Amino acid sequence: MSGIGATSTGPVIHVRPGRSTGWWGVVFMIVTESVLFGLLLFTYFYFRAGQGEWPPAGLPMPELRGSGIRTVVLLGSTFPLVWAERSLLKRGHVAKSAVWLFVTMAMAGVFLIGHVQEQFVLWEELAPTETAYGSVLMTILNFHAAHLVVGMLALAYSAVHLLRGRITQKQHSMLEISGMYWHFVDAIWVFVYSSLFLSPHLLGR
Amino acid sequence: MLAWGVVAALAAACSSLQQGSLAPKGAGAQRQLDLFYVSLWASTAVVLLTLGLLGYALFRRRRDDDEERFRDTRFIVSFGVVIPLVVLLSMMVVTFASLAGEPQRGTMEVQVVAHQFWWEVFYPEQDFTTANEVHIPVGTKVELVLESDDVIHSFWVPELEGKADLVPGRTNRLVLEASEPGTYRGFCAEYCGLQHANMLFLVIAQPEAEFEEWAAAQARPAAVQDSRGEELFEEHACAGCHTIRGTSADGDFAPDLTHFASRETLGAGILPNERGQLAGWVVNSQTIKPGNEMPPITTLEPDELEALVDYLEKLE
Amino acid sequence: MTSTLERATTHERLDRIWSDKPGLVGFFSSVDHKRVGRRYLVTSLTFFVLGGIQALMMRTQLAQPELDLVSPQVFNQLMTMHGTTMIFLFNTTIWAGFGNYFLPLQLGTRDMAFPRLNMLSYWIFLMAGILTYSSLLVGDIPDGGWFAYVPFTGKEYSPTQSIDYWALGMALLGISTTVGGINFIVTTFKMRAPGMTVSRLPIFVWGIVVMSFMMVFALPAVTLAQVLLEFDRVFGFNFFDPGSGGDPVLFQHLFWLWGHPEVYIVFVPATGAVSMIVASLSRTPLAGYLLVATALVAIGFFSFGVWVHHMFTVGLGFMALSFFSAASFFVSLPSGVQFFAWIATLWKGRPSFATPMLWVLGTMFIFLLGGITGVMVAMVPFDFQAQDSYFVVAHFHYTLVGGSVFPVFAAVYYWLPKITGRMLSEPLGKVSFWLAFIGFNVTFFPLHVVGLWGMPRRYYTYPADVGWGGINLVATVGAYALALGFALSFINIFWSMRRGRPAGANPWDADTLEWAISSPPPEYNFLELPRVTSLYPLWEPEMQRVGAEEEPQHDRPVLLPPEGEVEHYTLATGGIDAEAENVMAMPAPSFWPFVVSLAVTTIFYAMLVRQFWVGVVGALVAATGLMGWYWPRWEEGEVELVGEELEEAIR
Repeated sequence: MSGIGATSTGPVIHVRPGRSTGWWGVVFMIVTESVLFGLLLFTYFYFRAGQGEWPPAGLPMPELRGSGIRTVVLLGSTFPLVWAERSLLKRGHVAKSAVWLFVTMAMAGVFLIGHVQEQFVLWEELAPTETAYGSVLMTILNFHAAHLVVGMLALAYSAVHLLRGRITQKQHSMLEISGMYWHFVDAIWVFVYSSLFLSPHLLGR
Repeated sequence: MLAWGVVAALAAACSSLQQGSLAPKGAGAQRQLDLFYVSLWASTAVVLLTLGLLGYALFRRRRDDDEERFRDTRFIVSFGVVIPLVVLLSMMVVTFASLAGEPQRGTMEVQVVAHQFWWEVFYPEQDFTTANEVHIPVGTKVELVLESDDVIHSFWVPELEGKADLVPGRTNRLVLEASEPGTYRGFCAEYCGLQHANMLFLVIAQPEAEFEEWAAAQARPAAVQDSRGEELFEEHACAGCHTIRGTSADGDFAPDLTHFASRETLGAGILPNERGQLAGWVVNSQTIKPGNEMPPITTLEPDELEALVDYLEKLE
Repeated sequence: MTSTLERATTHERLDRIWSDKPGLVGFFSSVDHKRVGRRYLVTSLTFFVLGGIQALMMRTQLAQPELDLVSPQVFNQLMTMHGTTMIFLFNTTIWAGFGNYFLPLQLGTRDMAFPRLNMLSYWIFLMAGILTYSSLLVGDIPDGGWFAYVPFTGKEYSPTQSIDYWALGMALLGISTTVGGINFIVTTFKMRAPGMTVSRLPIFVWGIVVMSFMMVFALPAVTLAQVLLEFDRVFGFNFFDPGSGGDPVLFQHLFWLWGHPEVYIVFVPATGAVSMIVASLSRTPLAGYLLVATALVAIGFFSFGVWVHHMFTVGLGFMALSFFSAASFFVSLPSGVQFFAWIATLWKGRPSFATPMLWVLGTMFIFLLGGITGVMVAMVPFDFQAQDSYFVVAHFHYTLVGGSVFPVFAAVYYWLPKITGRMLSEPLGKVSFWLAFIGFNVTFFPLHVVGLWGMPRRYYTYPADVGWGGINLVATVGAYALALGFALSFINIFWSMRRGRPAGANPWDADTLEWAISSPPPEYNFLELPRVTSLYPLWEPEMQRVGAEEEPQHDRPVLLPPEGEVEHYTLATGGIDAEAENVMAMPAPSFWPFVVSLAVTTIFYAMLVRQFWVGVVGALVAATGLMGWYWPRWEEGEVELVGEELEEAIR
């Protein structure tokens, strides 16, 4: 019964706490995208199962230092995002929340710059037009990067509306949803990194 | 019911056409047909039972206390779960038994390489290559080693054995065993492009001795003295693609023609190997089988064509 | 609200709020689920006609051996486009059409959860169809088969762009299908009428929801297959090139990982519709509702475990063959449960033989035979013979026509009166049914036999001396009868829209909520949003009043915005029991879905013509469009008043 006619922030009147349709929609989008990433990794291991040596003869082992640093940065970006959500939801600090959002995006930017640099190297080394290994690696990495860009756009969009006052302590589903998507992109990277970078080292050639 | 009637009529009309997998001439096809008949009888029983229940449900005389007397869950579970489960489990056992009976290895090996749109057949023991014709001795398990040179094809001789695909980058095996001598038609059964429908072949099952004789003859180089024929074969670029062992023609792109005249068909099982057809094929096979890889030979004068066909017809 | 007069004013105001603008503005900005549903149905049936014409051309070519009516090239294009059209563009989308129109009505709400995404789904579906069919304009028509197996569809063996039209068009369609599926799921999760617990969901809704879950899980596989194929073709990657460590069989795995569930994606909503029709026209509740719902969910799960049975001849080990054979046997069990639930319903009810029922009975006969031959081809050694022969062609036409096309016609005869407000002609419907039913069996039953004789699929002709001519001629004659039968139903549809007898709210005396409102439904669907206390709302005496009477309905909210406001209100519910959660203002009509779909289509066309900068422009427009689309609408400080009805709703 709470809040009939009393909400002054939007058209939605909360009767009983429940997730919004938008939240559910993004959940299922994440589900279907997870399947897509799962199948891409399946493709990677399918190729691996068909080859004696991995990475195939003549191709270098994946490099761990730079990619490791980028991994730490990307996974670390989860924290400022959580703080951004908390500052808004718990305390209503709009400005603080926005700052944390920008920190998140900056960390993602660092990851992306590293990604682009790595692409130049990998394109030379792996010759995706000559080996299936190169094809699948480049596809997965860029596919993930594309998701990262979409996630950044969503966060930037949320930050803009946060500063415009259209996302508030009570009316925050846009931030919540783009945040959820960001966590998804982060989580996928864990699988991508451990498959593409760690597994050849751990399992051996 | 009408459909069954139609089928009965058709079956009667076509009883003389017991052919293909319904007229097995090999151990594999026989096993597959046995399995089909088991499932056919089981299916007929299931279909009749189901349609009977459906008919009764529709047309039965209705009474007022029907709703109370009818236990729908019990009905659904018994007919929709229990009975199907029993039928399916028994079919599964039969299937696995049949599957386990599939021979894994043969006693003799033949390599088949599929091309768009013809078949290259290589006999490793006797070391010779032929095309679009697989000769096998009757009663012998012949292990086919199946590979593809371009796209995916599938090797199917309904009278003898089910299919196996020929996939680039893979090697599949299929064991053929004919129980009777005869000529059996084979088909490409995986869509492979423009002339998928005209990628046929023959399997010729012969008594052991006859087969040995054939193989020995095929293994010999061509024994034709026809320098004009050879010359024309070279001159009009035939030799760039075709091989005739014993001559300078050693192309490896198209069917080996060393003993071309001994084959029954032309153009991958689509034409009888006769002089008129052959001449037409040589001049412009594209009108007969559009899209095959052999270009029209426009440079041939009429007398040259005669001579070339003479030569080819001598390649026994 | 106490008087008839007040009801009339409420109707007028709701009608004004929910109506689209007239003319082209309304046409391109509408987001109404009924309009989306109608468009889906019309477009999808148009593709059905195109696919049917292609089929007739093929059957004519095959009527006798060695005919030369169409060239091999054209035949292969017909074969490819027929499969692509019927599976991707007709069978899948037609159920999205019925779902779009009837799911919100059966749930007792005013729209889908995401009306704009809903219209986006439609536009993208249309544009994907146009993209693929635009290959006709340049004469470079896809000819790789609807399954597009590599390496034949790779750059080396298909150097023209024909395959790109297929791969890009169908990948684009995948976006539409995925978005549509998510929309159905969320609508069902969040927008059921209060009191519509999970055990009170109409069985058609179960069908649509299971279909949608399957789409969410299965579609990425085929999308990936198509995208990787394009990467190989456009960028020279090596996913499917065995020489560089790739594998053509991977494509088959990805394709069938979607392809088999796809069979059930079209089958599950169809059986949902059949269950509804059987129950309505037998005037009795569906027997074994819980079993049927469970069966639908079970099909959803098991259908993901059988894809390899399309690849039995590709060269697999004994273990793989056995496992997928066994799985393929048991995937038929849930269908058996549904089948006997229908028989049980007919048994305990008093079936009427109106036209929808005839199509349902036709469905049952045809699907029974298709299911039986399905079990046969699950027997691996027999499948070695049947695979890629006309036996399989006959088998899956029995399952798809029995499992989806006949149910489509049953659904058309059953539901079209709700959409148009007019009944279809019964005599014409019956003639149409018998012609189609007999024609179908005459076409496809003999094909089992010719397949066993050894006739492989996808042959543009066959030799004269094998003796297949007679049986093929019979099949071709049957195909014309079948086409004539279907054509009569199309005539019936057009006739009924002008001349049909007015249908009234509930011509079948059916039980679900869509029959509570007038035919065609008002723009806002329900004046008072219904509250549900039963699985058969309209068969419960108290619910028969919904919409049908003039009395006020105090326990059912109207959700009318204050005078002068135009918010589109509907109720959000949640949880297993569908408790009221809040009042949602649904998005207003918008041009953004159309703009975004155009932009997205541009990206795919850019891939096709290899003009990547055009693609970048498309992506920028799409991104801008999405931002405009999701621009928050409300102003801070705006006071929301939704009237007393809300209090009633929440109580």
